This record gives sequence, C-alpha cells and structure tokens, in this order.
Amino acid sequence: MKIDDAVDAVRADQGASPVLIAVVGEFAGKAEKAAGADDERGAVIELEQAGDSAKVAAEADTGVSDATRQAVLDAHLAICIAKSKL
Amino acid sequence: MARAELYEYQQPRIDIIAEALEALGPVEGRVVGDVGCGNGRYVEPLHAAGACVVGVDLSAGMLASVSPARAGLLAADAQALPLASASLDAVLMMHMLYHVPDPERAVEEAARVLGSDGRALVATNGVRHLAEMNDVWLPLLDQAGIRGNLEDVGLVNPRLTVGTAQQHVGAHFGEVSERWLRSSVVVTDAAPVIRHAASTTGSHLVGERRDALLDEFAVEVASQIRRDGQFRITTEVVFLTATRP
Repeated sequence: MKIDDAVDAVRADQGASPVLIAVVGEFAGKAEKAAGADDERGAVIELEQAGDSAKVAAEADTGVSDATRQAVLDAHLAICIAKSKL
Repeated sequence: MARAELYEYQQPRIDIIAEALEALGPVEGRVVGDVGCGNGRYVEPLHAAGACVVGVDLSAGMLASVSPARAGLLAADAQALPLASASLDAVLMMHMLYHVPDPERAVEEAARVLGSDGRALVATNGVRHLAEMNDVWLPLLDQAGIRGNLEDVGLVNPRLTVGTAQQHVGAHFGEVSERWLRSSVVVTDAAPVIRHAASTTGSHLVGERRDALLDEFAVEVASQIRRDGQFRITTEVVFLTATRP
C-alpha cells in the first residue's frame, strides 16, 4: 500500500522533519480508520484531507530526500484516485 | 497591526511572548505546535529558542506571512489537526479558542497530538479585558442597530469565558494552572484606540455609517481624555497551562 510505503520512507529518512513525520503519521492513521469505516465516503474525504496536508508538508520539507518526497506524493495521488472511484 | 499597536501603550508593559515562553518551559529540541498561529507572532521566538515549530492556522493567507524557514506550516482546522497522536511535545493556543466553532474539540485535539508529559498553553482574555473601550463602543453599536446577538462585534470576543476554557482544558488534561496577566493601556491621544476599533468586525458591519460611528467613538474617548488627562483601559489575559498525563 502506498501510504505504508510513504510512512516507511519518512521514518527511515534522517532528513525528514518532525512535522512531516507527524503529518504522514496522521495520514496513515486516517487510512487505518477508513479501512473499517461504515461511512466510507466520509472516511475517504477525511483521508484525502490528511493526504493533502502530507503532500504540502512533503513539498515544503527541504531536508527530505527526493525519493521520500515522491513516496508521499504517490500516496496522496493514490487516495485521490480512490476517491474518484467512490 | 492596529490591535497589536494598542499594547505599545500598556503600563506596565507585559511581554506576552516572553511570558508564553516561560510558561512553556524549555523548548530547545522539542516539537512545539502553535495552533492558530496567525501571522506567526510566536513562531520566530519559539524557533529562536531552539524549538522545532509546527505552525497551524485555518487561514492560508495568514500562513503566507510566516517564514517557512522558521516552521513547518499547515493550513488546517484546530478541531481536526492533521498530526499523528502524541507527535508534539508542547502546544500553544494563544487567543484563538474563541474563534473556533467547537472550542472543546480543539482542546481535545491538542491533547491528542501531545505526547506524555507534553505541555499545553492556552491564552484567552478575561471578562474585563478592554472593558473601558467596550463601555463606549458597544452603546454606539446599539445605537447603530447592529449589535443584536452577534458575538464578535465588540472589541473583545466574549464567546469563551475563562471559566469555560478552564473546563475544556481540565476535561482533557486534568489539573490546570492559571496565571493572570493584568495591566492597563494608558493613552493621552485617542488615535490608537480609534485604529483598534476600526480594525474590529463591528466597525465593518455598519456599512456607510462606519466613519460616523468611528467619529462618535473618537469624540467620546477624546472627551474622557480631556476630563481625566488620559484614557485608561484594563488589559486582562489569562494563561492556562496543563500537562498531558
């Protein structure tokens, strides 16, 4: 799963800021919550918002590697695609 | 700026930023969230003190005036912080809870994102804050017929009392300590008071009568200055601090 990949990449990246770690962590938490949600649409919208924050944080983080940044952007894109299929 | 300018006339002057840093304790190397950071008034001093700052504000426009070199910036709702649980060491909520639709939810979120032993600092105004200005301003708004049930037309926002803020913080943190910062603003010229009033919601709701309303306010304040030699205004802020169990 793309979000797991993003979390792993951020955690392993020594240059990732605490802000990015916190935001991507919440993105992963929302994904976990969405997986078992009764209100799938509501949960995916929440997840997308968390993904938007993760994308912004990754783009703003000057210490993170390109590969880590791309992993977060890929996870964000995956959620946008998932939402479009609802 | 007009609102901050008023406090240049505060006697004795209270350095609210220094007071906030003291209330937070050492922040060097710690991750500190400034929720409702606005234009970043606390971001630079927190950064200078060695904190890794996370600035959160609902307004992207406000965040645009904060240096991204000083903080990670997030345009987000205080009631739904996009941060993992237990990811911060300290949280500031300075003069912002009364703007939030559900202040308790915002406090709950602050508690969620704080790690064990994390410290929260909430600042809000006491009921007497700028009371002497409001005593002149609100009757003028009444005469203009716009006060009604609106909460934010006065010179201070009365939506959240100190007691209610304490209840919210206590509900999610347990023990809350409070510290009152009381002083006065003393002016001998009505101009800074008028500029403050002109920056508030109420002055923008009166439409075409705005200039006349501000003129009437100026006349009344100037009259008090002539009578007393000064216009003295109470300032009253409370810091609520609590630690995550």
